[in-house]
Amino acid sequence: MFELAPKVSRILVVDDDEMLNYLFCSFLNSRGMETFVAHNIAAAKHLLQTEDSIELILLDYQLTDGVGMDLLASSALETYLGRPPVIMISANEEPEFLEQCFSGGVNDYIIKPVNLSLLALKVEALIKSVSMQRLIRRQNEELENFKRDAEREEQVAKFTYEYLLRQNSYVLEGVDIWLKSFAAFSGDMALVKKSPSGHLYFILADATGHGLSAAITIMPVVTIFNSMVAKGFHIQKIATEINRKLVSDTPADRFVAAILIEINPFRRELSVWNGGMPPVLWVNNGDVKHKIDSGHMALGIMDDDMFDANVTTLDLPKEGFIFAFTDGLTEQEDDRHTPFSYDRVISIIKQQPENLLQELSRQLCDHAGTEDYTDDVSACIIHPAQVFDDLSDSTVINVATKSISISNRFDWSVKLAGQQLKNCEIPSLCNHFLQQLGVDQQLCQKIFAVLAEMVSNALDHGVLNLPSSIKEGPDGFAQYFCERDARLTHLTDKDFVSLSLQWIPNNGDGRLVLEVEDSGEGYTPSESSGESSVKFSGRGTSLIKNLSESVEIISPGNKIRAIIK
Amino acid sequence: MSELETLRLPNRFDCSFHRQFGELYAPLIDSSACREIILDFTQVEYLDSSALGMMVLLQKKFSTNNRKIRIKGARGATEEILKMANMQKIFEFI
Repeated sequence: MFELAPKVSRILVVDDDEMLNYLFCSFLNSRGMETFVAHNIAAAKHLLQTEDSIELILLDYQLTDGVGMDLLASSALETYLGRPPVIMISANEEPEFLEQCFSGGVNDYIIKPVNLSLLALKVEALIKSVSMQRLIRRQNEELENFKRDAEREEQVAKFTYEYLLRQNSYVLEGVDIWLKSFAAFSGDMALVKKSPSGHLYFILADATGHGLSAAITIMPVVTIFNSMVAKGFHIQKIATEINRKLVSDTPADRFVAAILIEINPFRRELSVWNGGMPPVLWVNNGDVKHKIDSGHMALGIMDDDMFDANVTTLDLPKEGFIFAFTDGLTEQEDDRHTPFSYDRVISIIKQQPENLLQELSRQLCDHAGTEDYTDDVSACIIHPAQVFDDLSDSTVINVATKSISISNRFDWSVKLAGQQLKNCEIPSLCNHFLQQLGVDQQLCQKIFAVLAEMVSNALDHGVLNLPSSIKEGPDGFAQYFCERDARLTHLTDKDFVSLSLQWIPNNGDGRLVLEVEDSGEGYTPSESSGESSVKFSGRGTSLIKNLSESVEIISPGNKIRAIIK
Repeated sequence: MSELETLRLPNRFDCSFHRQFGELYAPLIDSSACREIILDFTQVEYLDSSALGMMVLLQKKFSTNNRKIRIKGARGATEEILKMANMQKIFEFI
């Protein structure tokens, strides 16, 4: 964009002496320049109006219709694009005269009689210097524009980022977060949120780099975490989803180290996924009781099929707190390049300061001699006993008794017939519907399990009339599925499976009634005996029974009703 | 083939996974080198009774010569359903 394209220079030669004018022109032409001839000021003005891109004017002082200075002051020259430089030609070499010329806007001067090679050198030098000046001016403008655009974009990005974080951050008693960012944008991010079923979720993430580029990789982490916690997904699933998104949507050299924590207060369980972060500590009375090291790569590196979402699960200790931090804390150096270090963090924990985060921040500032740290620094504390009031209570609430929290009654039903039965998966359809209603993911999973059994029994044993006994033979499963596929192709419009869901609320409690009916003749599922571990079939019915409050098979056996609390 | 092989199970572990599951474990059963299989449940959200049946079948075929199968990463409702079906009697949970 800034290259000086080699091109023919266009020169306007203004001299009333025709002979001299011709001499200048032919000499300049011989040096590869294009010339325009004017013998007076009027003709020069006219040429300036008709010709573009005149780069230099060679101007004789004494002309028939005025002096050279008249052209200099004229609007024809002043308004000419880029205002070409002027070399004045005159026999007069008095200093006052020269001074007058220069102050009138002349760029250079040449004395008559004219030395032609000197003239050529001056013309070439002036054209070069003027075009350099123009280039510099243009570059400066571009730079200014660029800077202004960058600032404006950073403003917008910062607003969006902060808005996003504000929208998604919740303050919970018992959770303290200290975050000190290195640049306008932080590459560290900590969020805490409770799911509808009452589990506590926490994430502490540290993106590669700082500033805007780090913040960009943090944004999808924030939105995925937030929406999946709202739906009650387990952190294994959340970590998998964030990883998938980062692998596909951000450059390969960008990734996010993270700690994900889920506390299930009903089962008193603490689950931690640590990918590429310093250890998560459980601290009590100044001692580290548990240390959960990073067991995985950071998010955004491994492909989906290689990603390990397995979490570490501990029984939630009765006393103490969780302490998590980013490496910005331990790696901050003092003026002798000694890092703050993990050991120092541990020794501060041992001293049991009243406010650990404040004490860490104070000592880190002392160590660095400044608060302008070289990386984003964050540290967080979670006191489960303060987050959940009822943890001290000795009864462990079974998660299965956690009821559905929907206050309005709803009915949903679907009936599929013929070939639709082959193509449409009723349980998935129903699951999607329940998720839309905001039913907790764990409960969705259970409803799905019950429903999948009911529908597959209705289809396989009802509509298709397949006996489970096929499964018991050698390669029974394969044979069963083969036979099932064959019978599916013969379905007619008389064959159907219908499902209805009905939610009956009852003072914040309630029941979900599931009914599945089929066009079959009716069958009685075999009772699974105690030796369920050796038989390959008959598991479905006991699954339904175990997950439901009550199950009823309606005569002649082509309709089943289950109630889930 | 190494001594310990991990089978990664999908989001929906049900009869639709039957063929693939069979293809995955068949070479492990015939290999004398493979001493242990880990069933990785970290991605599983939904499972049905046919999944339980497939697991029992795998256990029966593989557990000759003291070979072991362990279950990893089953959480929440998935873990609950596995425990409800008494899978802890034939598989070790890790």
